[in-house]
Amino acid sequence: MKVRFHLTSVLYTFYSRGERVSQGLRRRVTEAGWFMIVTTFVIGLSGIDTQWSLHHQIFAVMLMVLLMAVLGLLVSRRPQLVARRQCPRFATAGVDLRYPVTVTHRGRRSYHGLRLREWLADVLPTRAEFVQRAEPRERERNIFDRTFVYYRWMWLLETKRLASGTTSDAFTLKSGESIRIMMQLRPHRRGLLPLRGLRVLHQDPFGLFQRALQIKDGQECILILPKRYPLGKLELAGRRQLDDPGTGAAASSTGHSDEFVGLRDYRPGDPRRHIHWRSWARLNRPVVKEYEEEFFPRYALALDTVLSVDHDLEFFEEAVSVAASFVSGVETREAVLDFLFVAGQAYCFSMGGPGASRASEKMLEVLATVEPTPDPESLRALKISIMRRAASLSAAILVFTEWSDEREAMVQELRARNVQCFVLVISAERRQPLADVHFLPLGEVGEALASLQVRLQPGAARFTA
Amino acid sequence: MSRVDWNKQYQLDWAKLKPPPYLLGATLVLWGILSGHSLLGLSVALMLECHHWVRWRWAFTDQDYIRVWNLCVALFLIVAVFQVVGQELGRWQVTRVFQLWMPILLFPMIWAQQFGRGDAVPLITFSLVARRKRLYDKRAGRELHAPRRANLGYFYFAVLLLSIGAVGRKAPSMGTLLDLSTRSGFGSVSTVYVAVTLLLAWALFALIPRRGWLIACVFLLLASYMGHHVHFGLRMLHGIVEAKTLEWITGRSSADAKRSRTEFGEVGELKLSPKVFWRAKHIEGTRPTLLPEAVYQRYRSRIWMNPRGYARSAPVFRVENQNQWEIANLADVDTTGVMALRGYATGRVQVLPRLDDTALVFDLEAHQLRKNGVGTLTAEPSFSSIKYTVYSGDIIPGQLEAPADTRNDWHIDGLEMPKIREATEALEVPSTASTRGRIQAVERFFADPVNGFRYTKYLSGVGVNDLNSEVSHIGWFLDPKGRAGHCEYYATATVLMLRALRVPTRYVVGYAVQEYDPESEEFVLRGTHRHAWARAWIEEENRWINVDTTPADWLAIEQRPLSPVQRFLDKWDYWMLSWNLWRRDDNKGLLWTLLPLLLAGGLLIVVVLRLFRGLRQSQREISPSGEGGADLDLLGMDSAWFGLEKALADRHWPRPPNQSVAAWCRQLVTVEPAWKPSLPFIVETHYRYRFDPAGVREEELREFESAVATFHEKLAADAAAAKMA
Repeated sequence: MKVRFHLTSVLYTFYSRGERVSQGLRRRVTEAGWFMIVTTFVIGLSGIDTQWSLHHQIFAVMLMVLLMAVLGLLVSRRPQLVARRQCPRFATAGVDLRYPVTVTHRGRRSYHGLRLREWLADVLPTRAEFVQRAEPRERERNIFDRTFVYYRWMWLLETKRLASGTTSDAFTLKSGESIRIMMQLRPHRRGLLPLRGLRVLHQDPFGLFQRALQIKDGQECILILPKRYPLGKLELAGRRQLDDPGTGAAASSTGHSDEFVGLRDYRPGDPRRHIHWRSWARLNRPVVKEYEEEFFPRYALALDTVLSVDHDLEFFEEAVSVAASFVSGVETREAVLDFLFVAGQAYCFSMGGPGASRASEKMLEVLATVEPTPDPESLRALKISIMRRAASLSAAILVFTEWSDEREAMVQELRARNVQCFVLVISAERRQPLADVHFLPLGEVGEALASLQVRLQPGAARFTA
Repeated sequence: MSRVDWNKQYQLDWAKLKPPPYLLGATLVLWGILSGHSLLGLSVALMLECHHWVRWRWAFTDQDYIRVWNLCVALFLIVAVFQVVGQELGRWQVTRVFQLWMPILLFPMIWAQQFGRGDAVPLITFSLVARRKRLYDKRAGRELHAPRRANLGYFYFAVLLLSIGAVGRKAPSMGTLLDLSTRSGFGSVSTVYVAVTLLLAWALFALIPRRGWLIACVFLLLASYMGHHVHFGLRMLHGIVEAKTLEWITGRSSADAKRSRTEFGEVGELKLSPKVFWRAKHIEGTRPTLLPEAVYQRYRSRIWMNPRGYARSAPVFRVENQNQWEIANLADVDTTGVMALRGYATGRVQVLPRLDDTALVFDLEAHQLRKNGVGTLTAEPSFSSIKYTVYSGDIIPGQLEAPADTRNDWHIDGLEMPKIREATEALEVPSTASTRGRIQAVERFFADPVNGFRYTKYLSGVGVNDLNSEVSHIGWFLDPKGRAGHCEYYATATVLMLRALRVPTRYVVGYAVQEYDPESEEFVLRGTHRHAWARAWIEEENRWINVDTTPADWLAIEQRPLSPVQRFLDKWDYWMLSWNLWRRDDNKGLLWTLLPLLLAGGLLIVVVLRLFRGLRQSQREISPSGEGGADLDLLGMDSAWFGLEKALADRHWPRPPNQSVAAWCRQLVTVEPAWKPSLPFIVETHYRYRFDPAGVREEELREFESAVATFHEKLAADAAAAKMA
């Protein structure tokens, strides 16, 4: 086992260095260049015996073409370009992003055949990740694959890859000329996408090798928000409502309406702005204005970040997408999610103030960067975090990566505290819903969410499929 | 952007790298001209490039590409088997054949790509392992990415260049073609070089924008000028490297007529192959113990070689239309011995073992037989399995081996001279001694136990790492501290000592005839029987004689029990050699030449039939789903609507060509409101049947056909009613 661990560690060094070298080469050599190099090499090998073939002649001319291509690239002047990218701060996983880039040439010479490429930072897996994280169903692979774990490396690279860029068509730039180029980005998964900057590809006279000149434009990163699904029928009690004394949830309601009811004596804790100054002057004791009590239900969204080792990352990603779908879905229905619980962190967004209107945006930002953890303590931290605020909650939407006794106990406890729970669990296959627990099968999460009919109201959370 | 190419940062996009139109055709034509198959080259080029003129395309699936590739592989195997078994070509010849025919063997693949609807072929087509892996992953339920694709155009172009390089050796220079002086710079340029440069320019210029052509042109001219000089440099380099390393690379399996590199200075055990190289059958005369292969005159720094005049070879006279090669006229010589030899050629040119004083080589199927000044025979065999019979006789010196040449046959390198002189002076041979007396003195020197010479395969002494021009290996061997070595030490020392004693002597490598195989009644000549000895000129008798001073026990030392594997290989080689030679006999020639051809043809027919059956199957599978097939345009043309349309047109008015079916039906419904419940359904289902990629379900189709039939009946009833009225 130890030997395999060491081997994997050594392989990490080999793969990561190889990937860097490979990236560097791919940046500098075009497809035609690779073709030329390989063909020259093969013909050169065939032409070792110069007496019996003319391969050495073909090899000589191809070698010289390669040499002249390199020379041509070395002696050519670098184009002096300035670029301005008009790219939004946010993108959504799975949704292509198109944005214009204005490139201005500040040099004197004209350049032909330039191309623009969005160069994205390639995040390599860490050594710890490579050693510890196994590809899904890796155990089913053969011994060679399990030993050399190349597929694991490829899989990790794939999962780390946040987005793909495109290369523009070739363009010509004259001195002082500006050109507007539409670039496109395909975000693969949520996260913070660092931008290394735009690169201008400047090729040699034969188009075999190229320079990838970096043009900085100031933008550092794009936040890729999680993928969202359309929700089915979602009924949330929005806006402020008059108190319904019959519902227990009213006990946790706060706030005041503008409807004046009457005057009463001041009690410690009453806000100063409610003091009725004239009555105080008349009666010589503090009197406050009493307003009609009102009910404002408070909703919370909780995301379970614990991903057990036998579950694929896909479970977690789908859970994040479901949570993000609710953030967006609730916003469109003029209701507000007040709390977001992620792992042990609680984010409060409805305490008033100018920032409240951007609550969903901030929630999506949080969800964009959340990472899974195999540590079960995180689930306990989530539970503690919700319980602390249970008294002020009306209902909660809980998104779990799996269904377990611990999670069930958490739901029961919340219900015991009079918090209505709407539970969504990502499952490997279709399952019949339990009481107030709905299972979203992997691969059909979008359809399942769209078919859900959710009704969340203080004191009553109902849903039907 | 017209097309979005994702992942460019991570993967090279081979699908977009397409050669310009007609480049492959032009290259194929050049290949045809150079290979002597102009008509074939032109036909293939036309077949390939006509895709620019016709719109007809096949909807090849990935599976179809695999089938076409399997056809190419089958062609490769057929050609390989035919060449190796049928034509008995050696490895180098088969390589040449493949290099020549590769464009044709790969033609089905490039043709399929050009006439397929896509412009790229999945790369997994070419790897059975990758395909298996993908199948395994699919079964395991892993997520599969779309296979990477590549346009094969430039790959095929590279194959053509490879083939042109192999077949263009005999192409004239530009000087010959344009009637210029070959001494002028341009006149010495090969036409192939010029043609390939032009083709490369065509290929490269297609990749760059037109505005950059001028600069590219300048750079290309420079590259071609430099390339012309570089290829001369490469030829020189090849000559130097070949001289230094080729024998080391090729090993000791076959002699070289020009030089022989000794194992002097190599430390460790000398390993010789137990493989049987030749089989010799003694037919007449005294059984020879030594069969010479190559003879050399000059020794320097571990290498025996022949000076330029003697290394040059001349063709041996061939009796017209016969496999009889006469070194001397048999009518003028008395035959002293006859020996039949057979074995495999290991290269294009094969040095033949022979008898001393060979006068005639009989029954040798070869393009050419040459002999050099010192009597080494080299043949360009027609087949890799060779058989020949050697007749020896009392030939005149000069007919095979040149008489003694004191300039070369007395030559001792300055480095060896002191030790050689010291050793010969110790022999105390009187100056009046006869040539035979001098030879005997040298033989005694090596044979006398007092001198302590012993045969060993374990090489020590001056190590190869210490090798420099100042080290004398023979000096070390003759030194009383050394005096151990293998045959090359003995033979070289003997030659040099005899030369010091003024006896013209040459160095010979060949085989010792020792191991008899009773089963085949032949002597087998293995790598372990390879031997070196001296050949001395007896002035008094005007002839050459062999002088072998290697201790007689050397063969016993070399002889080791053969492993079972080696015994099996010996048997296999024997059977294969016997079969190859037997089937080439006059009586069976046609049958056994045709048999591999028939087998290959049969196999090819089977593969082609399988290919077409597979293609037909896949086209059939494509068509119903509407994913595109050969008959895509006909999809939905069997709709029942068309019959109904005709009936409706007869009833009211025909549909104008520019009017859609839906619009026409809307007009009809306004005229005949009774049709309102059924006609829109029929039209909608027809539209879906005709154009919806998802098609219509079976029950919907049945419902549609039933509705159309009912409609026809209604129309017929209405028509009958109208008639009655």
